[in-house]
Amino acid sequence: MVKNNKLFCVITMLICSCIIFTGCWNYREVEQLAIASGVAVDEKSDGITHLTIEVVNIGRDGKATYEPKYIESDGYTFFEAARKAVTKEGKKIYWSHAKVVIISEEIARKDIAKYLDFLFRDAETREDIWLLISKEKTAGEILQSKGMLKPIVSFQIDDAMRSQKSITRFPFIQLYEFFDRLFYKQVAPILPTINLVEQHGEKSTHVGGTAIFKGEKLIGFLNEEDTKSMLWLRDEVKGGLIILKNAAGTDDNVTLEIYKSKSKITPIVQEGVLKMKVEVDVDVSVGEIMGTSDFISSPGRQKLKAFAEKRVEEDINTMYTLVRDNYNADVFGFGRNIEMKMPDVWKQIKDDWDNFYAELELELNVKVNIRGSATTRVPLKAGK
Amino acid sequence: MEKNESTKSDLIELKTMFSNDETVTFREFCCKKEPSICFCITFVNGMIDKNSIHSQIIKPIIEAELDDTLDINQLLNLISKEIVSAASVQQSSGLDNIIPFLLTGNTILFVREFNKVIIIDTSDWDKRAITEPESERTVTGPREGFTENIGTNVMLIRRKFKTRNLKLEFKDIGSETKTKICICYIEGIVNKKILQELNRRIEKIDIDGILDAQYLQELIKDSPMSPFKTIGYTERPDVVAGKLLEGRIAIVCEGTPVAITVPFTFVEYFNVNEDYYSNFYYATINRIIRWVGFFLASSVPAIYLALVTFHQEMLPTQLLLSISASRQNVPFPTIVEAILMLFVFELLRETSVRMPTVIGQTISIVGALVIGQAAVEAELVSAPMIIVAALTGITSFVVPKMQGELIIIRLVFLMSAAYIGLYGYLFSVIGMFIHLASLRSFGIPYMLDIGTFKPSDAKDIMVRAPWQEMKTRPKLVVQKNRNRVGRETKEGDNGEK
Repeated sequence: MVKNNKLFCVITMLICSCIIFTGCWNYREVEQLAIASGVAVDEKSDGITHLTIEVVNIGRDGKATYEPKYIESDGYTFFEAARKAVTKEGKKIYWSHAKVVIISEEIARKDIAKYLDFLFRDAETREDIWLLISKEKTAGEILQSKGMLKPIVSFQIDDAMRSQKSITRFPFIQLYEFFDRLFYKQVAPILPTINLVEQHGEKSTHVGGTAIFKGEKLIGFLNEEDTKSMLWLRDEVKGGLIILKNAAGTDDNVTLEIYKSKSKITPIVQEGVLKMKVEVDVDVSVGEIMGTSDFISSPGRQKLKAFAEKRVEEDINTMYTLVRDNYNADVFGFGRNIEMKMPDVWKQIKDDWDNFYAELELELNVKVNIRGSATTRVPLKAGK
Repeated sequence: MEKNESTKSDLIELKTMFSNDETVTFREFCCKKEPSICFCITFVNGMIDKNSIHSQIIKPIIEAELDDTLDINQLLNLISKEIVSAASVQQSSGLDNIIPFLLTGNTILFVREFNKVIIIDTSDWDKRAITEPESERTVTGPREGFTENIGTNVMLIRRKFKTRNLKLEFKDIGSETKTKICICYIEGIVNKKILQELNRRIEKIDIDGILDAQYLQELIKDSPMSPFKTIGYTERPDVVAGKLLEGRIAIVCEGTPVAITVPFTFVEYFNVNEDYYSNFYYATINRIIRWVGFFLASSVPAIYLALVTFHQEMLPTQLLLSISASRQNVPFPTIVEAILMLFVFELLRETSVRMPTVIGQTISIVGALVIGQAAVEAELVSAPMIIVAALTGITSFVVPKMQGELIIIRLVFLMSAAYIGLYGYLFSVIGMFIHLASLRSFGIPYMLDIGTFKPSDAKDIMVRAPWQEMKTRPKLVVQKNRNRVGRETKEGDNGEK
């Protein structure tokens, strides 16, 4: 009985402490929140952080309206600047629905980690935010451009990022993934870049290309074509197009649409030399033939296949040499691959990975399977 | 021939006893052939059929050829066996025995000054016809419902069972009302322990009057303070018949058009007789809808409140924006808004129940238009809260027997969600389940078989299995004779091997 009483007391105390000492404390009314949709981070000349926060301004005049509103705020730290924004907005900025963080190139070249600490530490910010590097002069002007389809620029960028699957022109990386890579010394983090393009006399955003980091410092960019080749080595191609200019010695340009792509990456030791063996297996269909050449019959298809394989292989090799020789950055995560598959080898080369990587050869094998030709078998041409 | 003064004085005493009650009528008459034998009948006006008194009692006796030399017993036997032509006749003596019969519509025949009387059943009074039960409608299935007359109700049950195993035990409860109740069960199926326990609890009842079965329910219920029912009720004889076959016991109460059934388990809230009258796929879908309805009716306001005031990050961005837009300019905090709207709904519900049907329409117009439309336009309440209140209101009718319970659950959930968000909501959900699991109805666990994966136990919980598969009666409720099918071949098999 005594034992039971003791148990009862302990359980009661545990339950009470569960109720009293944990949980989500603040009751806050939803209309009292200024919902931030995105933020751009710049640095002023004297080391002061300059934030441009895009807030959704909700109006209700018969019908609900959502307009972007920009709050600019300075502070010695990110947090200070974020808090100071309250004085301008009047409501507390609510970060949980922020979709994008745009970092200026200037900051990224110095030290990006410094500015991300708040996002990493704070409970309200999410870790599935898109982190983008601005290629414009300031990051703020990107947020303040005009959204083409949605009035709120951050939401438009969010949509663009989500449609990456059928574009394959920038890496699909969320904040937590970037943090993950940042922690890992031997991997070079990458981020997508964003810039402004002019359309109908208005500036609008465009996401494409890659920013390459070495540690927390930005060291260079990849253009959109090279980005696609790079994604192949990371097994992140899920869709998109392969453009074949003057396909197989003809004058015709051909577009292949990617259905499915699988890259098998394995480290191998060949005659005492460590190599990365990459087998790319792509399922495509002929999406477009700009001309009358025969790429549908069996020999024609073989020709097209061989040409496409060669083209993809060349693209990847060119990009690989460029990244390896110019930046010496392991953006492909080869180091981790070796660690997982050959832990013993990795232990030996871990400390000297940069030098190893500088001479790491690729054994590339691309296989393009043409699965169909969309809805027709014949090229479009005038009858004879 | 023995003559006894006591009957004379019984009659006189009866007359003085009812001297202020003009409904009690006394009529004296004699036999034509033998005027020395005098009779007096007494009955309560309005509870008897005058025609049958005339044709079955007075006329035959007046015209009878009686003999003055007969002794009292012979005379009474002669009258009850050969002269009075009513269906139910018995002899009795003593005022205490006679009065209850008199007051239930029997006619009492006094013969001369003898101490014995003849009680003749002539009862007949106006009663409501058997109609379709209002609170438990079905699309298919029988349409008859209980009435206020216990005789009719017992008859409705009896008609379903052509077996000698159906037992009907009558009892009188209430020191003033002497309300008649009838305990119905099927011998051979019923769990004797539950029957004993029921009888014990009924014996213990000490109250002046039972006007409705609800009195009885509360007096014999387990955990009397719990908001949940541990005793079922129904207006339908077919439901009672079904419960009797499951080994439960039904109690019919005079003056109440419902029968109560014990033991009652939590799933019975969700099982409706129509489930058994329609296709089992359809019935299963309907049951799942009822469970979902229970979840919605109890939890929607609490979850909405928690999401909007604590966990804004859990809402999709677009939803958050539109909720925020509709909350602009609303003067009250969300919790006040929620309590207000739920209160308004309950108010409308109660009003429309109490209000005469003729002006009932006004309520729906005022309720729907004024509260719904105008309040949103005047920015007193936000539109999502109207949706939440409406959804809660509608879904609470999916489980009509649980409405009272749902109001309490909903409020508790809402308050704890207002205190610490979803965390608090989950705490009260856990609390509710602990409470439910601790309840018992006549020794049967309240949550019997909820959450079981054993097909033979789960056959009538969330799903309604086809009849071929319903081979056993619910466990624990029935201890012996659990098999529904093949009883003849397995006579004496207790089904529990």
